[in-house]
Amino acid sequence: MVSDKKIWDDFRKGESYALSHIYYQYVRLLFRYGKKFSKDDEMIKDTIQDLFYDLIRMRTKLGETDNIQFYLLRSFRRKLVQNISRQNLSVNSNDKKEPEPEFVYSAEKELIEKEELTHREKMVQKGLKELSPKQREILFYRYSCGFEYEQICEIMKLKYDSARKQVFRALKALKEVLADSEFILFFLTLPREKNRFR
Amino acid sequence: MESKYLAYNLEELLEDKPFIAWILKGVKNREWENFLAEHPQFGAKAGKAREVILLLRDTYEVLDEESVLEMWRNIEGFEGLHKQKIRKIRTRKIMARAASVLLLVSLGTLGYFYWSEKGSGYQFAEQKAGHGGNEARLVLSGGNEIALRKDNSVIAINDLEKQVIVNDSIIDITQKKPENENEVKMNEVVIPYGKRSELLLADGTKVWLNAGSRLAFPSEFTQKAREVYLEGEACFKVTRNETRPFIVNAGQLGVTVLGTRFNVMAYPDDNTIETVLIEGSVSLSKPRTIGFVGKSEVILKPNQKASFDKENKDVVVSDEPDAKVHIAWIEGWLEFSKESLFSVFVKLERYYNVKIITPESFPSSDIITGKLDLKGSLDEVMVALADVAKIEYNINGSNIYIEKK
Repeated sequence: MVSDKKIWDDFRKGESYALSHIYYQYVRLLFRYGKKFSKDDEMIKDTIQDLFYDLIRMRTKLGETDNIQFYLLRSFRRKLVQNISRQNLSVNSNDKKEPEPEFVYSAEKELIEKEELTHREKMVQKGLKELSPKQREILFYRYSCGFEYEQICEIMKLKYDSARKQVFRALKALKEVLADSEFILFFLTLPREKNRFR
Repeated sequence: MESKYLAYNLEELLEDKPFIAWILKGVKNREWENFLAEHPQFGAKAGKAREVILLLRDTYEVLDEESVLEMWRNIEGFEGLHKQKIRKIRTRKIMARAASVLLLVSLGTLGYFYWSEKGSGYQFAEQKAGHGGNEARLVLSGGNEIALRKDNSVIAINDLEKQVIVNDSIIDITQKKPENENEVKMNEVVIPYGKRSELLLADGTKVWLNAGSRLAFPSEFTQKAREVYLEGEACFKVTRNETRPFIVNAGQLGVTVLGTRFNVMAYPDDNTIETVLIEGSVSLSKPRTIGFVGKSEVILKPNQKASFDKENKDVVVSDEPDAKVHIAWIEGWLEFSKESLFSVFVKLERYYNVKIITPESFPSSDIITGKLDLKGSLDEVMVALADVAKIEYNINGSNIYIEKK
């Protein structure tokens, strides 16, 4: 496997394989990530394209990285927030607060779609509902992207201690919910999709 | 597998990278399975931790393959054009800098143009593109004028680095922020008859500008809509951005697009403004007239042509199965399908900067279909045309006299 650092350096040097490698590796993740900020698919796609245009234009001036995913998500988030603010501006010019992403987990979605819930499923649902938007976002970077706390703090402009505390609280709450029962672990029956985290 | 895991509590396990990687991606699955088999007491804890992690799995939003490919084509196209430029720039960088300083000194302010949101259209600063000047040139918003020495010049705008790249030189366009934020300074490209140009705008949109045309565009698209002004003929390949529509203002007609490929022909001497759509969708709107509520709008589908009559201000939409013939000129071909011979003459006049003179008795109903290689000399093209159209011609300087055979 070629390291992120090598691919990124090759991209900066202008090797033609690197751009398509990066694009195909991350375009789906970027889209999925964008969906948490907006329902507007076209705007998300535009923003992804724009992100790559910038990378190409700034190619020789880009810094080093050994984590392309982090590099992309950080720039992409900035661009997304900008575009969404611009969209909102045309609707309501007084509303100037930063758009808040909505992180819904796969299990949660399944529970919402399910018609009847067992007692345990209800407990799990309740536990997940109590997670704050911030906690959700941190947990996403932690468990879906595998980011370090330092990276999460950089993306979300958080203090290290605060990020740690949020995760600790969230996990503690979830643990309590789960500890309540020893029924079938229904989430474990979900098929494991290979590479879906790329 | 290290035995340290046996002493881990749930929280520690949930912070452990190798453990998370195993659950999510199956990294070192065999080792973990063996470890579990050897230490069954680890199973309960691992199971709980695994459940928490899986509970927090991301949803799966599907991006259709067509979009993946479409975006890639745009990005690859953008890279191709950019790369070409970069390679040439490196060697010329220093010289180009010097050249731009020279321009500043010797030309000063030639033209000053602006366009504001409230403004009533746009006035081209330069004189008419066609017969007027005979040099292709780029006039920057500050007034600097750059000669485009090639017959088919390539111009790229780089808004991030505040540079414009012309053929193989690079020109800085850094300027002070305009005092009025709503004021957009426009650059102009003027292409006389006999020349052509390709432009890459700041948003990645590509424009092919045909002979006898001019285009006004900002160095950076800062407004809600991306607006450019066209006189003459141009083919646009617009970078998709639904939040900021791209508007081509062509005389009395506005063509609004979201991301698409189309050709606009709006020569001042012509009676109509023609818009041919190749891909995507565009809408045409006439400016609001007094006493008229709202704008009249026409939506065009691919392979359709809209002709706007300048006099009675009517738009007629017709199907154009051979829409691509209208953009053959960007490849250096002139292609026509059941077109009147006169309209072919007009195109040749523009392309070669000549005058084609027909006797009054010349039949106006002649229709012709075919393809001419414009990369050839005027004489070669006329030989081919004369053969198909059954005409005789006589070139005298820049005048061509036509007779029916």
